[in-house]
Amino acid sequence: MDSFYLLSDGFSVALMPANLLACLIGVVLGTLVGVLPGIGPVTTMAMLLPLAYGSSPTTMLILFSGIFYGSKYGGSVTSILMNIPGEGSSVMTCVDGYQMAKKGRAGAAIGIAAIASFVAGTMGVIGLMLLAPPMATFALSFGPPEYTALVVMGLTCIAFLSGTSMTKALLMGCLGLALTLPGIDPISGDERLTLGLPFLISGVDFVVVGVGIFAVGEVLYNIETHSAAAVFTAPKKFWELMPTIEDIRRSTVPILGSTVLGFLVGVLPGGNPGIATFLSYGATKALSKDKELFGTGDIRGVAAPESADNAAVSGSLVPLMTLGIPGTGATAMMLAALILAGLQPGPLLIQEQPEFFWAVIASMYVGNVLLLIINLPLAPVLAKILLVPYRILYPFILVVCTIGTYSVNNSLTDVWLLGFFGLVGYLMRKLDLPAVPLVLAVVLGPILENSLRQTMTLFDGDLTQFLQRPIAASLLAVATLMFVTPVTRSILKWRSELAAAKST
Amino acid sequence: MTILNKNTKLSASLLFATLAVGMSAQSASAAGYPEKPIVFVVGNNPGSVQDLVARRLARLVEVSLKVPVPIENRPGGGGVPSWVQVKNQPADGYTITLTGLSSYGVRVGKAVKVEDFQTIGVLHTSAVLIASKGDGPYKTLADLAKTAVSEPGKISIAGTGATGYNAYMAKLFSDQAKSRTKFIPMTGGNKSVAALLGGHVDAIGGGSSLVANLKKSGTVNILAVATAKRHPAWPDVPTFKEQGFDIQLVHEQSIMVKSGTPADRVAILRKAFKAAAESEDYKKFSIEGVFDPTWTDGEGVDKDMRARIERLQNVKKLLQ
Repeated sequence: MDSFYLLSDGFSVALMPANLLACLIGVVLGTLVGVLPGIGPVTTMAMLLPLAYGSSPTTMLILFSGIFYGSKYGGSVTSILMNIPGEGSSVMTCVDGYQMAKKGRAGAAIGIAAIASFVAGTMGVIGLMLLAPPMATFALSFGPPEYTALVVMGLTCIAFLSGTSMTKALLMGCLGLALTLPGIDPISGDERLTLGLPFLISGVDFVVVGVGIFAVGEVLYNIETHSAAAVFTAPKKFWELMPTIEDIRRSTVPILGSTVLGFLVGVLPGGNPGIATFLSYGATKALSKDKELFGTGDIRGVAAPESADNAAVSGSLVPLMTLGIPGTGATAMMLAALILAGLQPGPLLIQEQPEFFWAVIASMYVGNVLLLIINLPLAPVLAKILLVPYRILYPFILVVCTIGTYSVNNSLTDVWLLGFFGLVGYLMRKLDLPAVPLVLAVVLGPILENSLRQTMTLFDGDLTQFLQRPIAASLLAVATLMFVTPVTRSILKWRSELAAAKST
Repeated sequence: MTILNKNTKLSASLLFATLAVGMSAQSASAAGYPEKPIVFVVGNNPGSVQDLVARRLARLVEVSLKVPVPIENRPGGGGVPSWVQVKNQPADGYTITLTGLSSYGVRVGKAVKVEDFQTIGVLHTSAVLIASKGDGPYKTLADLAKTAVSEPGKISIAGTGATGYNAYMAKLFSDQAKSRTKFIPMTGGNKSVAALLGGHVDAIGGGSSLVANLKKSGTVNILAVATAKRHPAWPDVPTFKEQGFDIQLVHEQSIMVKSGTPADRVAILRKAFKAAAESEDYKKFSIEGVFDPTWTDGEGVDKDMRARIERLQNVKKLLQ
């Protein structure tokens, strides 16, 4: 009951004209920068950081959180329409979203992404509101061994994303891990595998690999094989541009499950929203009866990662609000804005500044409603972009990829690398090598290396100590199960085929 | 003829006007530095402690230099990409960088060389400290040292940077306690704090601003600071020296430009940053963030830069 009064007070602050305007500007700006690959919410917040001097911390955080969750709504658009993953957490949306677009169902995919984002965003705020202090304890229960186990679990998703051949998927996963090796060694601090090339010192950026292999590779492949008219089926009637009742019914359980999963992973200060999307996609596929539909444009394959990604946003505010510890780049910017505005978040924030906390919570309810109102009607409009003739559409996609990649580091070298990975993506399609395992490994590789090497120091090199940590041990057990089941299945299938071949 | 004459006159006067404008612009560039934005490169993520320091300084020097000083973040790679960025720009004083000296000292020599840069000045910022969990078993440095001695290898200390000052502090502490501790390198200060509060490590090493807000609520105990004297913001926190450990380490942040920048421009930058570092505004900021705002002019720093770097590279060798 106490929360109810505090929340209604929060709404009265959040609905004040200045704060409502900050919320609206935040979500619109967030949607726009989410659509563009490269320029993410963190860059946007960095540009707006000077506004924080002398402004109200409440208004600042309403603006910044709006940019943060708004960007998640926008992020699905380029993934679905152009197969461009702007960040690690939109890789999975590309997989089924782009296939849906090819089948003329882009509007439905963008629509379900907006609905999934809204449901997950709103439920995430409820979680943040009611569970923040107990969740903080959960967040801290993860140390290096637990993160190692979590990332291992994320990597086992490769087994679910293998497509035709498990061997090829594992091979691509290893290649992806290898791509994360050049740079500065996190333990010794030495340069590693940089081949004397200065641009390799900061490592290979995910955006370059992901956008190159997914989007540029796809464009190159299509230029050779089809005209765009053959790639994209044109939707005939208007209702085809929106999700159907059947779509929503099929997506309900994946959305709810992925929201819980996304929130939990989001809470962890050392987690990564990418892990949440991989796990939610993997879990949704593993628990469904018609697994073969995933990867061919299944609506659940869009609903699951999109809801996980949005729920992770609310989750990541838990350690910020309860401990003053930012877990992601975006929450670090929020912390910076608060400090500049004169508020130092710490463990006492919610007790000492309840009006601040509840106003931000209330603004997030408002912001998610605004985003649904803005994004849902836009879905059919945006889907029509694909009706543009291919000789205009393909160059346009390449321009978007190039600008996005350049804007990450203002580096022309990255643009050349984008071209290189585009060629790699093209060859991978020619050789029927799966792209998702490679990109997934690029996202998770650095987290795995860091947490594993930290764990090895903590454990004095004794791996059996994993078994003495309940959380890490259970995660590893689930990971083993997740990995062994499909592998065993494919081995059994192979053996029975072999037996069948012998008997004939 | 007349027409031609007119035209010649016109073009002559146009030429003269162009020349005059060109010359005045040229003389303005010699005398009127700065006349366009000065890019401030930071080798860390937006929102990091270093980034916040740079933003505060930028805001102060913008007033005196009368041009915008935008921040350009080049995170990762242990700072190397940020130095390469400055090295690749012309030596005209329009690209400057804020650099942690310990990180620079360890990595200089390959992609960038000592002679590529000159120092505008050094801001002495966060003192290195060691902290434990507020409700944990280690209330004082002596508690920690006692366990380190009775159970060698049990105590784990987390901190950013595998070969930086945090690791060096942990090494000096265990050597002087005549014991062995484990150092866990983390990828960010926030991650060290999370590991400490979750009870996954026994102590953390870090810069003082990292735990300023957690000290206030009693969530962490600061066991010692590695400065000569106690910090005015924390009169209750003893130094290492007071507790019998000879450890003095300060994370220094220096402002650098590319070598070959005209001396008059270096002087202008030096004056502006010195005034900013010694302003009341920056002093107040440094008390909140628990820094020591002592300005050292770059000239003296550059003279013994090689000696400094040698010391830092020896530290690195010691830690490997």
